[in-house]
Amino acid sequence: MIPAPYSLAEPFLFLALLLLCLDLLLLSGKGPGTAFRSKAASFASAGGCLLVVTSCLLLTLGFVTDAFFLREVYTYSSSSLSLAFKLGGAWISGNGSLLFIAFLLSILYLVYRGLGGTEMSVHQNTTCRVLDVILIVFILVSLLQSPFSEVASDPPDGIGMSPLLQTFWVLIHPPVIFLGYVLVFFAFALMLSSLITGEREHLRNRWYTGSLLAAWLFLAMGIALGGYWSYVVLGWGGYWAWDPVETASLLPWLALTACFHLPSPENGRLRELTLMATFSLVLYATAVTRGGFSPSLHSFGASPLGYLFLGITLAFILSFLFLSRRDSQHIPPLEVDRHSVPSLSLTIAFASLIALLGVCFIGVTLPVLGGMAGVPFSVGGGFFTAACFPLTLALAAAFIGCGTSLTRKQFASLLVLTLAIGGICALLRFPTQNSLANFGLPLFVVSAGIILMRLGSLLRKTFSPRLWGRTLIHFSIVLILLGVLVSSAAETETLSVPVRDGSSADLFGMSVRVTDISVYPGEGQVYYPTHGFVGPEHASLTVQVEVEKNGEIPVQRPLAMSYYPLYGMVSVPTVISAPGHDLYLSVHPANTTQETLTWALMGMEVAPGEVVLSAKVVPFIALIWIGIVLMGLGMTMILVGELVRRR
Amino acid sequence: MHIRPLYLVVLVLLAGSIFLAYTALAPSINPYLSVGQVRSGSYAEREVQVLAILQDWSVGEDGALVLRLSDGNETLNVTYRGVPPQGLTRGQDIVAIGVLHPPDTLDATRLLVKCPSKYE
Repeated sequence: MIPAPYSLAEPFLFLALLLLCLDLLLLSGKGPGTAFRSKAASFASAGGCLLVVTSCLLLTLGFVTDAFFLREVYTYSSSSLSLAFKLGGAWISGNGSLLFIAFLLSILYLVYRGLGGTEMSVHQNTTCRVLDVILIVFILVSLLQSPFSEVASDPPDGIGMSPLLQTFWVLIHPPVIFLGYVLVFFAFALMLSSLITGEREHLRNRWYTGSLLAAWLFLAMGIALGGYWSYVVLGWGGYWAWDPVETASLLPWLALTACFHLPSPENGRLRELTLMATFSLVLYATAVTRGGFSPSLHSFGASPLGYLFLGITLAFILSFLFLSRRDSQHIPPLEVDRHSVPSLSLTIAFASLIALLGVCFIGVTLPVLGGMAGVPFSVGGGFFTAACFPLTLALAAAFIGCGTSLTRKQFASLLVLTLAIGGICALLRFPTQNSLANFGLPLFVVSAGIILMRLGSLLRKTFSPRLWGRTLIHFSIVLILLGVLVSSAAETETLSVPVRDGSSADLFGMSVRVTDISVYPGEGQVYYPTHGFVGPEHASLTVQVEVEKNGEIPVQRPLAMSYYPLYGMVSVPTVISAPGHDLYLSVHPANTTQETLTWALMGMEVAPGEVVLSAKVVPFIALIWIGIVLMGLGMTMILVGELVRRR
Repeated sequence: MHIRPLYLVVLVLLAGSIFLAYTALAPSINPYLSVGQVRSGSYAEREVQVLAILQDWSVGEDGALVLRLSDGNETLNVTYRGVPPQGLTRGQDIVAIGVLHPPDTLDATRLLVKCPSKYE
């Protein structure tokens, strides 16, 4: 029996469900007593949202107070886990994360409802009903996942959080991406409400524009933070592996980016379609992430939750199509000025983004279908690279044409010239060994140069956040694509050498000397269920290395490796950044390391012995990180500018 | 402007992309094979993707990782020279991608283990 207050969490969720259903009924009602109904509906929705928030806070409290009788706390925490990770337990744990999404949506809904007051317009009333439905779906799924289920026995401690999750990045990557999802839900509710009521003027208001731009920013930063985490944590294929879960998270962002590049900005129906696609793709990404339809880096297990989310996605798409049909508005022809290079460029950008979305969707969906049919397979990175490459070239060409004063002839000549230079570079295998990368490099460089010149000319004009933001985003995307092309084309093979205390190795023209290897006894505390006792969580080993290149001042860095009996050997790499490249160093176990660390875990003093030192050089990776920062800056500029403008 | 030139641009882009995607798709589809399938099938000197249980691993004299994968009945030896994935534990599921040298050795270029987010 779960003690109070945790025993209240699940009843709270049930009650929240009932209150939101009541709110939906009251908001749908017509006839006399409107004022009373409106007031009662406000109380019901506020009560429902507050109960969801309380339930999520109770789960967090469970983590903070070491309530190991809760399965989530037992599975993801331990008494020695640092407070920061306990506070993030709600989104780090698998079942709690859906409740966390409901928590974020509840807060946003409370704010929207609170600012709207009890006298709501028809549009606000309909938006609230759509939000009610979305929130009800997430509460239902959270209840099915049972984040408050009990462990059969009362364990003395938890089995601890995976060491790979015990990083700073787990505290920000999931909340940022979940916030992006919730903002998409909110914008979708506003759009669907406009579709139902026919009041399309609301699609220009501050709430709608703000939530769309904020969703775009948070989705982009969420993906970028995931990529950086993957880069600094070994073995996940660098910053991007075209894993189904990673690629699925890219889909809504691509759809939303296409939404901002509509050739006819006033084309409401096309905007509705792209936003519907964004919303459906968020649900689809959730289905892929949690369904485990096909083996991936993120999940091997199959779960009925994937099918449930696919069903929910389908239900929303069908509802949208039904409402669109009833609305009887047709997609008007796109407005493109064929004599205007910027207008043509916008069309090319839109078409490229839609095609990129299509390619990524196919690459994600085929393994899902294979998994469903019982024939598991993966779609390799080669498919994505080959299919996306020409589309990124088209995008770079569109950036050149965006806001340019070039004529069509000049624009076409410039493209032909840069592609011809690219062709020569590809034939000469210069500057990298990868012909595809060499072919694209001149176009990306020219594109970056022209955007930089545009930024320079903006300095002489009155500050416009929209123009600055847009130009910065274009520059950042070219920078990221350049970084991806060069770093992947010129990344070296990994060199691994066995080393001891005092030994040195020559790696990529650098001298790497091991100045000290120390072993530390067991730290932390976790429960070992198979043996039924509480013991130290891990034992560690640190390797001090000194890297020297061409007689320069040596750089000293520590490398660490720990043995977690429940999770295996885990290394903490170090990245030595120099102009033009990163030296990625990590230390790995030799044949005796696990034995050494097992003795250390038991409190024995042991000599460190041999370890394996791995190194690789990743050139120009910094371009990607600089690009991401600039992209975030550009998106923030546009968001803040729009919020101020529409105040 | 009338819609046709726009459709043309979109169609050319889509057609080019579909062509490239189609030509790249077939060689990129990698079925997840079991150890038994790899050892009994005709995969000699071909790139394969094996999903199996990690039975044991050790480090060779040259620093390469040597793994023994199993499907419960048969075993496969895997050699890997890249950065080893985190948290290698005996008994866990692992995916090895590489070229098969008959009868039972795989020269892996990638090793994948599960991200610990446990979102299943």
